Amino acid sequence: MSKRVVITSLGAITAGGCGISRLWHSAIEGQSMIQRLKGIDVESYIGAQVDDLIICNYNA
Amino acid sequence: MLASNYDGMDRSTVLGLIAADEAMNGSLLSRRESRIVNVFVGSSKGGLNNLLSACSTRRTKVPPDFLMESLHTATSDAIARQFGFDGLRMAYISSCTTGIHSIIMGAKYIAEGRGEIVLAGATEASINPLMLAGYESMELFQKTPQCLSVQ
Repeated sequence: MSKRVVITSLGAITAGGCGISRLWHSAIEGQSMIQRLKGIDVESYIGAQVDDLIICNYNA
Repeated sequence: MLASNYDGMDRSTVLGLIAADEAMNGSLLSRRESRIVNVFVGSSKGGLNNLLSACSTRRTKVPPDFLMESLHTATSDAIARQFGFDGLRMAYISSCTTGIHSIIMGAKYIAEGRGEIVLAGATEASINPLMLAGYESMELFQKTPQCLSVQ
């Protein structure tokens, strides 16, 4: 017999910022997280990149 | 966990730890329940940045945990260590579907009665010139911002 499975919690860090609420807000607002990539030589590329500041400022 | 404690970890592992921390804070699991958590967090590129960094500096000596910190299972291991999980540590890998694949396998694991709790997902930190060259060679990468709003 298959047991019931539920999702009890979520976590995310994305190009939109740290946290599920930021990701959800960006999604429902239709905000694109795509921008020119930083920190690499080939600057003509675009993508969804997590900013280093998000990591540096994170203190659990 | 302070950002300074991430020293030596691959960027993909750090991102996975931060996301796991939010999930754990929201889960309201007790300390006893936390011990039986299984971790299914994959990474299709693994600790790529750690490996590339070691290669670029031509290092011939690395710390004892270098390989473990650079493999695809590095994030699952780091999460289990950080939160004191004693359950299974797995890393399912299926390119861009690694995250949903991990969640499906976690749900299946519980549905089959093999475990009670699974922390599942994926992490990736593969924006570097080598990977971009690979994507470009496969013609998977949009190089010019045609049809997209770019800041």
